[in-house]
Amino acid sequence: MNTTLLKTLTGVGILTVFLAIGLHVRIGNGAIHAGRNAGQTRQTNQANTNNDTVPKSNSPFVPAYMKLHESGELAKRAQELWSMLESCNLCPRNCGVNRLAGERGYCRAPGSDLVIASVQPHFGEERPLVGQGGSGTIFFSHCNLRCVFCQNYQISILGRGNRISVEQLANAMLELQQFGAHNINVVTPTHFTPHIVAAIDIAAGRGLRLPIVWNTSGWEHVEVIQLLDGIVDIYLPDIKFAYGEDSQTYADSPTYPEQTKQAVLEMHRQVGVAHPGAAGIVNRGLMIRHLVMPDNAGGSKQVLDWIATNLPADTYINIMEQYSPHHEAFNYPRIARRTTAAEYQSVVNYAQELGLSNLDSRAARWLNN
Amino acid sequence: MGFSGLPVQLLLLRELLIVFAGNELTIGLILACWLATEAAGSLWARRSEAGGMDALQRYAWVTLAFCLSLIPAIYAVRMIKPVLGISVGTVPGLGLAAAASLLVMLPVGLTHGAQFTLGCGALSGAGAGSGAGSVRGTGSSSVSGTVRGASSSSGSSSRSSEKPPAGQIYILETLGTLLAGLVWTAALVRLANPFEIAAGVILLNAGTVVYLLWKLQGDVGRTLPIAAAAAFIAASLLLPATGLTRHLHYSSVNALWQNQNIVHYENSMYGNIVITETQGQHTFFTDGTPAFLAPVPDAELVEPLIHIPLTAHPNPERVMLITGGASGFIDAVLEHPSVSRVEYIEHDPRLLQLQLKYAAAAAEPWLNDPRVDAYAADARSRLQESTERYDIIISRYHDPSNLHSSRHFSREFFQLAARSLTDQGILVLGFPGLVGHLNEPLQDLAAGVYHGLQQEFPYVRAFPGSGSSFLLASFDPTISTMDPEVFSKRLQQRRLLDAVAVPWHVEQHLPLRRSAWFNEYAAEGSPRPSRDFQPRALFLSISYWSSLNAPVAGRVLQAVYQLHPVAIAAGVVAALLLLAAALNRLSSQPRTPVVPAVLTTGFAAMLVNLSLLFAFQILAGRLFGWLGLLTAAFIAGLGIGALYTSRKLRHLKTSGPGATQVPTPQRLLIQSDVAVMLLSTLLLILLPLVAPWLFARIPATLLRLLFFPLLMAAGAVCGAQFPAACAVLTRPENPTGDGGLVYAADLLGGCLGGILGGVILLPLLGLAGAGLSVGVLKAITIFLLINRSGPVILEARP
Repeated sequence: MNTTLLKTLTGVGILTVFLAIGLHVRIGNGAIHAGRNAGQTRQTNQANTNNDTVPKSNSPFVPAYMKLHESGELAKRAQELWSMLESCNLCPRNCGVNRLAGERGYCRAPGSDLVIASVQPHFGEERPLVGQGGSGTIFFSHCNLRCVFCQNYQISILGRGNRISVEQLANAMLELQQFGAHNINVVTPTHFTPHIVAAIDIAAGRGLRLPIVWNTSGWEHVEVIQLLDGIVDIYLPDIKFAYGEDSQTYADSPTYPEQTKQAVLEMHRQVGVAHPGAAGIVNRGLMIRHLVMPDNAGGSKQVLDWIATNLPADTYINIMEQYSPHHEAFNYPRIARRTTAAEYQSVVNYAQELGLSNLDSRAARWLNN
Repeated sequence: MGFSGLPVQLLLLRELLIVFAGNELTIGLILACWLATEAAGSLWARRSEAGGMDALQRYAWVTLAFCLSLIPAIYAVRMIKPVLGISVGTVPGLGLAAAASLLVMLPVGLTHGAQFTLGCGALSGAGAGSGAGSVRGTGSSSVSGTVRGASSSSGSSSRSSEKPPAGQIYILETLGTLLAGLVWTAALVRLANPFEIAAGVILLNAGTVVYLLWKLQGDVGRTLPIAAAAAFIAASLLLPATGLTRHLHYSSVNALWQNQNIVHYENSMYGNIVITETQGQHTFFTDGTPAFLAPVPDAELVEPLIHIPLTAHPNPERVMLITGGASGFIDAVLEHPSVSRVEYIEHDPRLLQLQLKYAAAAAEPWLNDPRVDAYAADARSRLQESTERYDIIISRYHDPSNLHSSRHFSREFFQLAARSLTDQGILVLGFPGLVGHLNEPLQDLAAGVYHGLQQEFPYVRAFPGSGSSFLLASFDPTISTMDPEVFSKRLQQRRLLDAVAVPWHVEQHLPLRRSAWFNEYAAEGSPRPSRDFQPRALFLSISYWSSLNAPVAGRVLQAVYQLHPVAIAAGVVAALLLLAAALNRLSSQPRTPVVPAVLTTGFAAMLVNLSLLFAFQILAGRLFGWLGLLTAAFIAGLGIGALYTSRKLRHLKTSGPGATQVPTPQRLLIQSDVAVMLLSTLLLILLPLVAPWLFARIPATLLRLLFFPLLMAAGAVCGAQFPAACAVLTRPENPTGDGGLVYAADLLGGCLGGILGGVILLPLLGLAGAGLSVGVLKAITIFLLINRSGPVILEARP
């Protein structure tokens, strides 16, 4: 009797473990507020810079944040942003979780811990950001948008990366400057805004003189963007979707189009149009990205219409063609393919018809036949 | 029974690999799960008493339970992703792979493991409780997991003469497995879907149940199992006849490929191929992973990869393009007017045929171009056999994530490519994407490949990219100096470019500063190049893959890579011995270190088998298609070895205690341990030494055949130990001879051989290093056997 009971309990126990694993995985692949520990203990080399050896940038350009750093306002902004973590409303998700107490919101960022995936000079960004030294890119793990077609889903959705301190983030920025990068390009920064601002304050005190590129999905709270006024020199937002139903389907964010438009207008108010300097490098301004998706899933022409109507004609626009199905995109037949050359070209043509004059487009056919 | 095990195991393995986008680590885990469930089934059968039921009835019911579990198991595998909410493009972690594999395989492995034990017990006329002592699986044998019975301790031979000899059962079972290997290789892989294979297995097993009960069982209690078996037979015939197996197949495939329009699904000799269609575009999946798209090329990937090397070459005429999809790539090559011949090589003939079919439907221009020669072959063999020289060789294996692709990241491949290139020729080598997640394994991989290329080519340049990167290696310095300006000028000189600017997705690769960054990045990594028989690149790719998809495993592998090779070998040896010592405490004769000997033999057997499969793939290719036959050959060897020892033991018994010339079981055990040590060490050390000679002189077809005697011999040496081990532990008061424990040790050794040997020892220490490690391990167990069982050896047998 006892043996039978024991066997039954063992069987139930094993089944429970399997069910728990299954549930964990299901939660992990859904958009439910449950996180996974993405932290890794190893620190990047870039995050271990010896502060005494950091050279100053030779560029005469003075980034916007220097003024705020010198006045002490930068530290205050960082503090204000940090306090928002207590009931996190850094992004339009407005999860309201207490990240200071270790809670995780939709983005799954582990409380107030900072997680980055990599630090490197990146040569694949827009021409005016890359130059000869590359764009000093810092990829942040986790994401508030979590698009189903994300090509970096292991980083943005599964949260792979290394936990580092704000101090180490500041050192990473300095390391990129030391390498010769033209800017500090923070990729998917929204959920770590307080950390980044705090790190800029530290790095500025140690000689950082590169402009900050706010490389974002575009889905930002205007109030948070306002707090970045005078800190960020280059805004690099996506405008991914024109229609709420598409953003709802592919990014679980029905308010994406409207809130992104508001945020972009605020960004433009702060930094204006991006004009390259003598060496073709942009140090300040708004640079918009739009990814052309299959079957017009992003509403490309409507996005361009809005830009043409609400922003100057010489607003920098990168019309991107590199969409390729990744991650959960295969679950959505409409976007489970590449964008065709014809689809891309028609968007570029339309932008030209609208009179948008600062296009970073890539010709579909370029070699002579 | 013998015929059923191998197809079912290979079938489940294949299905699980598709679901989990498996690499060698996943294969090890899945096999370990299979072994564990088989072992559990066998142990459960040995212990079960099932009051009131005789052995044959128990065997019948377990066999029917095995039949019942098959179709749900296959269906369940394909439902793992949909049920857990994992999309097609997502790679599940290792923990999930292990847990899901275990859960799905549990009913199948449990019943199949029990089937053998109960079957032998039934046929010997004894209950399983005693019968299992006489027949047990040699897990050493269980190379690919097939647990089979080897026979027979002196316990069996001491039973009454009317029992069928265990050897006979074993021979039959081995024959069944061999036959299954043949049928699997020749027909099942290609012609039948998994549910049809399962129906066949059900028919065979249920038919056997009816036959056995009819022939051997009295009238009592046979009606119900016969009726049940008859129902299974009917079902197994009706399922395919009514098209239900097809329905199950396609409905489960559709569920796995969640809402996609699947236009083609098949298992070729090389792997699983699925083609989906959406709005005229086709995505080709191989083994569950998106491989390439057609007909719309990925310009961001295609154009830099093709145009940069072809522009760097002064006059590219002959181009070899190795795998990775023809659409877009060949057309891009043909844009260069100097090109007079393009050879496109695809490893899997079916994948090539399907590409041609869909390219024809889309009227892709390259298809009718006389300069193009697309054919199926092993690219390495082609380079080895061909006397032609190429201006450009483009390898589209962009990640050494499995044994096959890792062959294209070894120094030997670089040598082969260097030999096959013209004086200004360029090798283009794909490389995993760099942007986004940089970590130590990727850095070490970059360093190893870069330095490997540098050893063969004076000029090497990296072109790191977002999704995929590539490296160029050449004897000509042009690749080192080409920047956007030079690139544009060359294109203009060749009248390929007019006023249109070079697009950014090409230009962004060209600044020299970008390559310099890669050099600095790689300089911090470990510059040890990958070799054919020491595929470090494979380990690093698995480590990188794990860091993305299974962080804990990734961290462990990363830590292991930092260790000195001697520390790795010592660690593995120490871990195995500690585990064996712990297990040995459960033995009824803990002073006699039989359990450590068996566990380490299980480990050695798995390692030797893996090494031979590994060598087969390197030297002859086509492992996937030949796996069934090769496994069957090894298993047959195990059977021969076990039979040999059984006969020796029987001879010992019939010769009586006075016959001092015949070997004692202990002596046989020691002899077999010495044989395992010599075989493992010598084979693994010699194989890499003679491989280049063999590869250069013997055609691939003949080489493949050579592996059969090798595998059989290796199996025989390893299989010979199990019966002796059982016999040593057999005592009058313990007639089953701790069989379950020996069996468990054997299986555990096999599992560890798969995981530790396949993932750590072979890639990091190479075959020779792995062989030496096994040599040390076996030397220790031999020493212990001689030292600690000395008095027992001399003891007369009862």
